[in-house]
Amino acid sequence: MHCREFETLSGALLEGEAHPEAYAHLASCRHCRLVLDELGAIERAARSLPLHEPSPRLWDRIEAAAVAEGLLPDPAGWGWFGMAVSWLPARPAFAGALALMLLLATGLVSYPIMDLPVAAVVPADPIEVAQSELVQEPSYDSRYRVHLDRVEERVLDESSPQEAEFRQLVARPMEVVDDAIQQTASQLDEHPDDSLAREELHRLYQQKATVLQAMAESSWYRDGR
Amino acid sequence: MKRTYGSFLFFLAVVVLPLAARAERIEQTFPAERDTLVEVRNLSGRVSVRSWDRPQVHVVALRRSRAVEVHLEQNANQIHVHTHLLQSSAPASDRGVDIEVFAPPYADLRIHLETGSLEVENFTEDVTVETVAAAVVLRNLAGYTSVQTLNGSIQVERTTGRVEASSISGSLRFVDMGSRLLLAKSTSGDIYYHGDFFPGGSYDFINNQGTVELLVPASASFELRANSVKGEVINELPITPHAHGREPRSATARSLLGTVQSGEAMVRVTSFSGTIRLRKQ
Repeated sequence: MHCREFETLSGALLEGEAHPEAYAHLASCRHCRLVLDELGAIERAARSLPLHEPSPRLWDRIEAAAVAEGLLPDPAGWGWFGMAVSWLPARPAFAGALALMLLLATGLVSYPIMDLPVAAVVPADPIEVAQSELVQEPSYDSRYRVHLDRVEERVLDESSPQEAEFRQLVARPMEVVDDAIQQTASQLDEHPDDSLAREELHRLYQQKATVLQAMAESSWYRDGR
Repeated sequence: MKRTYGSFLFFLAVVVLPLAARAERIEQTFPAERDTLVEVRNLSGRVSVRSWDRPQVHVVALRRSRAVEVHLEQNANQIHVHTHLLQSSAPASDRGVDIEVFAPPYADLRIHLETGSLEVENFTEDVTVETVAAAVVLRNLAGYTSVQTLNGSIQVERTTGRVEASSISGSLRFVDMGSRLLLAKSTSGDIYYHGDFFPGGSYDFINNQGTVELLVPASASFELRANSVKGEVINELPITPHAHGREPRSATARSLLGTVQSGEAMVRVTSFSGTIRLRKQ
């Protein structure tokens, strides 16, 4: 799969659809991981925005402006029938835009928190699982850690004696990330509302995934690659 | 005299000739049209990639032993410079291949190096770099530049395109930048930015520990959002502070939000336990 094909599936992935070929691409393409991660962050940020109920006066003003622009017929001269049809806009284009806006607004407000069971959407590879969890799972900080631990276990189990040399190379960054995760998680335990610490923990998990991925792909140490 | 001559021959036969036989220089030139991608994958060694004014890619590789092989190949508009380890038991000193690449400035570059050092200079298109522990120096790049290392340092000088740089335990240094989009992330490494911020630009600096230092000219104009969860924010610039509004919240954070001059660029600095320092040049 190429990046362009992946882009067409990114929205579906964020909506929780399972696309194994996209996960495979995601595991090997840092650019698309970044793009998907950014899209996920935007979506999470949008969902966390507080909802404001507009005042009735705002609707009155919008309606008055629409009437003044000729976009809506003046409901004053229509009696009860006029009141009934006054919500039907005079211009189809405006109607379409309004419908789209309402649809988007409804979708945004009622967008379900994706709490899909892990087994239902994940492919077999734990790295892909971890990557997909990162963007799909709002409570990533506990579940992502579980996946990363599994990945780490598997990478260490499967590495050959030659790859031990590579592990020495990445020992320092791994130690740094583990230490940072511990400190950041501890801050979050003490202050669960600390959104800065939560964002940082998210970033650190991504970094740990990067280190593990590098370890999993250290194919140079196999003779005649 | 005879004995000295004999010793010289012995030295030549036992030390120099075997070394010379093991080391090998490989050189090849490829035609390079527009949209050429040069991909370098090397285990260890010094790698330098520079632009020149010929529509060709010229590769010079010097392998230090026969424990590694060098594979040069052109496939349509892609030129591959790969090294493969043939004997995994070979000591680290025998695994190195020093590579010099000369390519037209419009070439895309994709470089993967585990250990050693990398220098890239004077390209106008996209440059992607991944290293494990190799130090990276990038100069005069105008395209999208993405550089990621686990344990290596990164120095970026005089780039004008979008830059994303990330290291886990290495430091990041940005000098005389002309980029309007910059994302710099490190976990334990220090981050230094020396230069101006450009109008409409967006600059993000994130680390967990260590220092983030921004050394900017007195004329620099930007909005600042600096937050350190457990560290501190030290500012030497004249700044008009802002209310925190909808900024991410932290019970313990030291924050500084405000406008420097007329706020023409956006600068966000976040650290978990590091020190954020803003200094005037």
